[in-house]
Amino acid sequence: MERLYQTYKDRVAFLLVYIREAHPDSILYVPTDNGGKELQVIPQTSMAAERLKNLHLCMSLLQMTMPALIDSDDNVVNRAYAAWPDRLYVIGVDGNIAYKSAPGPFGFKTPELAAWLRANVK
Amino acid sequence: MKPTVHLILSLATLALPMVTYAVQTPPAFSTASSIGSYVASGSTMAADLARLRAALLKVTGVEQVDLLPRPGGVTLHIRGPQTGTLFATAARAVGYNLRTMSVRTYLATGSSADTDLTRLREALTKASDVELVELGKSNGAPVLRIRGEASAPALIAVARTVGFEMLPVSSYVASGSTADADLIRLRKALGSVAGVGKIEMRGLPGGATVVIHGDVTDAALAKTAKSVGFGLLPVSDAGGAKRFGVIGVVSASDEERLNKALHELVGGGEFHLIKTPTGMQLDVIGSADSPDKISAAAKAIGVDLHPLEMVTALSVDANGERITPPAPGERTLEELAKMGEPAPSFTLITKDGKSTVSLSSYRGKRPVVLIFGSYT
Repeated sequence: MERLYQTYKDRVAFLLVYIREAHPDSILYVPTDNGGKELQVIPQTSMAAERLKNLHLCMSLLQMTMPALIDSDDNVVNRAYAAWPDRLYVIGVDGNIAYKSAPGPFGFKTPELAAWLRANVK
Repeated sequence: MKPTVHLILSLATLALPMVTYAVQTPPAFSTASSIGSYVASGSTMAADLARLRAALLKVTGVEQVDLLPRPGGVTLHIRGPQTGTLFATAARAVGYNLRTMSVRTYLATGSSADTDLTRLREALTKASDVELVELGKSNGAPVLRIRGEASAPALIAVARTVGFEMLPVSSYVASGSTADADLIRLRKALGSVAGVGKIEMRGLPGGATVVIHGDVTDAALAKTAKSVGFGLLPVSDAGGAKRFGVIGVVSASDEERLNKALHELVGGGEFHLIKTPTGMQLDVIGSADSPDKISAAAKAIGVDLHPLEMVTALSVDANGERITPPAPGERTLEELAKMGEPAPSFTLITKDGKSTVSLSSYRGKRPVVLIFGSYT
């Protein structure tokens, strides 16, 4: 995904919208200050501060640099886009939905998005 | 439980070992070991069995693998950290379907005299395909936990010869809707499965615990539950996975001592010591021992375990992944974001926490790719 972003960022805006945790209380590896990894419980987020923290963890671990937003506390955008647990959309210049992936995780297909971008963005 | 992270699945970047719930590389838990019993179905040819053994010996921490042929496969005793999910993955790669040996619970009626119950236990232990019989009490009634592949009818017959009636009981955690209508549908669907007698359900956030009286197979029930929208996960005891707050583990040697003590427990299982924002926590999965027994084992070496609310055992999907189900309305608002129609507008806080961005600001300028996801 980071590669797609780097390829198209001059023509297409990429926004990572960080929604509520799909698997809260999972125990995942989290980078530590000394460059190592340690296991931590990742609880559900309900406040902006918590969500921002998880977003930063996520982006640094996955080495993603694109612009990112956090969904509001009441998960409004998640609901509006039926985004949970993950999903891909492209909004056209006209403001309409130009691409909508099937719901994740099976519908979250980066190659499909790549194909769409190749076909529609010059 | 397979490792997944939703965002990472499709990324061509790092292949990091993300795991959900069941920790796959336990940090300090590789020294002491116990012996776990498993069953694998597959080829009984010597060459294939040798490959199976070799594959399992490659799993981190495994010290010894003993195989005993049985109809359709093998019984395995694996000495090492009991990381069942890793064993199953290794076995699958060489063509075997591996699972932990069945542990089934039975309620016994007939007598509550200790001498009679001892006779019952002895008779069952002697039966073929029985590895271990544990006697306990549930609400005052005798309960037997039997490890082995012996069928329920066979064991019920054995119990009858010593004057006992045994009733098989299976416990599950169902994840899915908590709406009464859906739970009723689940109960109805499960009731229609062959062999199911009484069903006890207790609703919980994210689903329900289900106790089924009757001789049933987990697979048949899970399939039926799935058809009405529920994931069904068997648990080896009615309480499901157990979680404890831990006091008294400070150093690595403390962890080792605790690990050693826990692995000496007869009930087996996987033990995961985790650091959480609120303190040290011990998660126990698949153990046949009661929380009291586990606490006692820890107390004997000066570690205090106090049982914690098991919040997340309740929302587990059919693959054993922990999820929170979509909140009401999350799955039904597809209509708001329709192909070819205006995208729902929004203004959200940016990752630096200091400013906001509106979707409308891109209109007329550039297309926008929206990537929705979370860390877990």
